[in-house]
Amino acid sequence: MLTLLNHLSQSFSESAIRSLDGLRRGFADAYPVDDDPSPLTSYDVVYEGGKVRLRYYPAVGKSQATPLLFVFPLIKRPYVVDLMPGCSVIHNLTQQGFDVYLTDWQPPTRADSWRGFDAYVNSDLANVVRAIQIREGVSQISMVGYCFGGLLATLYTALHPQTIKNLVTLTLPFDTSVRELAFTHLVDHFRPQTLELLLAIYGNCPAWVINSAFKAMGPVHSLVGKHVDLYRHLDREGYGEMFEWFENWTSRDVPLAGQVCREVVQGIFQQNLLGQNRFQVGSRTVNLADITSAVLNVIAEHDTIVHPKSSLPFAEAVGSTDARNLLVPTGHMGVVVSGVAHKKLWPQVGAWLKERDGQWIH
Amino acid sequence: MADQKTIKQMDDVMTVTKTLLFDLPLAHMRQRLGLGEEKETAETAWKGYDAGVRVVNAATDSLYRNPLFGNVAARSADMMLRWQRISSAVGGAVFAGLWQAVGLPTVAETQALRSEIRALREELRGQTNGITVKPKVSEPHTKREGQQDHIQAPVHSNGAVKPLRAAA
Repeated sequence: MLTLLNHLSQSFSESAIRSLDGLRRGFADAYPVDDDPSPLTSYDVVYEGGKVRLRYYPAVGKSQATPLLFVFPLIKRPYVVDLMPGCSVIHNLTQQGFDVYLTDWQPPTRADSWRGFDAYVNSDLANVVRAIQIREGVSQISMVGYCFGGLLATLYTALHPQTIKNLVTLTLPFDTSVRELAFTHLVDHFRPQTLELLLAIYGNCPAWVINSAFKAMGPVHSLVGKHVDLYRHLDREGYGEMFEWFENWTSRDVPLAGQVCREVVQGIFQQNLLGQNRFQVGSRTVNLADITSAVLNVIAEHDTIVHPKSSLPFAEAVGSTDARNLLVPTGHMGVVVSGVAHKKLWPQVGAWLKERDGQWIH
Repeated sequence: MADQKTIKQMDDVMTVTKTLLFDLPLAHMRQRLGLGEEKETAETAWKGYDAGVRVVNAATDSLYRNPLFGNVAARSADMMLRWQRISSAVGGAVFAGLWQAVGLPTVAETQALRSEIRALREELRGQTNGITVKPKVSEPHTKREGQQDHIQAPVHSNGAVKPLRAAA
């Protein structure tokens, strides 16, 4: 008992330091991206424009014909997909022969609060895809989008279908009318005026608000459970190291540009416009029937952030005749950090992409 | 489904109570008398803990679904933000002159400076036609020998080169 209490007190204080560091980073007007830990896998920054830097990770051995773009969410730092040896999606994919590109979204400052989906999808992401097309000498690429990145990837593919050969979405928040998660019931009570007030004060949605929302989704785990679990699994090889890396990453929330925050909260989460083919990006309405590329929709069965039922209908909603769901027995983050993901999911994703590598879509 | 959930929750509450009042004291006594092992006591304790976590999670879920709690949380957030807005406005007005007197730039001035730098960067980028992309090396990549043998280390915006992490 004493050992447990000692461990808990040490774990709590380390967690408090991480949280305070996260607050410091989030409050800075220019988020300090250079605070990220040293990279595990080497990369080149091959393009920079708008609010994105494009990282390139070369394939190991002979490359697949179609390069792959991993679209990361806007609200977190991307190094979780290259976290540690044995737990790196980037390493996994490059070992399978994919030239991997990764969006390193640059955190917005107050001056960027005007940026909505139009800027991120039709400008930044479009330029990133164009950059890959130029570098690789291809007209189509494969796109993998994770969570919020999956939203960006979906919107991009619907608006620019001729550039995408294959689309893989991971834990996509698609049908937001699903109310299985208790947290969504709580959020339903918040008025639109509250969001406007928040954006009026800060310009963007602050990192501490995003961090608090994630913690509120699983308060018991966030406050106590994970520390006790660490104690219980101290004997498990690699658990402690993984815990520290992962916890450091979870404290690195990034502000979300004001306009995109407004659009995603009101248009996507509250009105479910994407699911009804009524969501507007710029002057265009997104129609999912325009997605005719091959689609693989990866769903985490034990997801407590995006309920599986929310992601399930996506494969049916797109216009593609080659669209399927792939269920994985992990949680929301498990699709990029769990053992199951690296041993089973990513090899399956790689195989799925390779099957379609030589095919010409449209 | 709702009944099954309630039954499961009641089960967990019973497990917690039984563990605290009977199982754990019994296991501890057995251990003291040499009839049981520390492992048994630990397993009994963890069983109670796991059930306790499920009970608290279920209670949190119920709280979030409670309309009264939702309303209170929403109104509190609203009120907090309004106060913050007012105090920011008041503080800004009161201290605006003070910062200049002590020679410190205000947040607004720093932000304006950053915006200008950003605009200059964009203008510079706009000077080039289309997108500037780093060309790909034409020769095929050979298989990596190890984590440290790479083309170049990543360069950050201030020009400093950050060393790669050593592989395990």
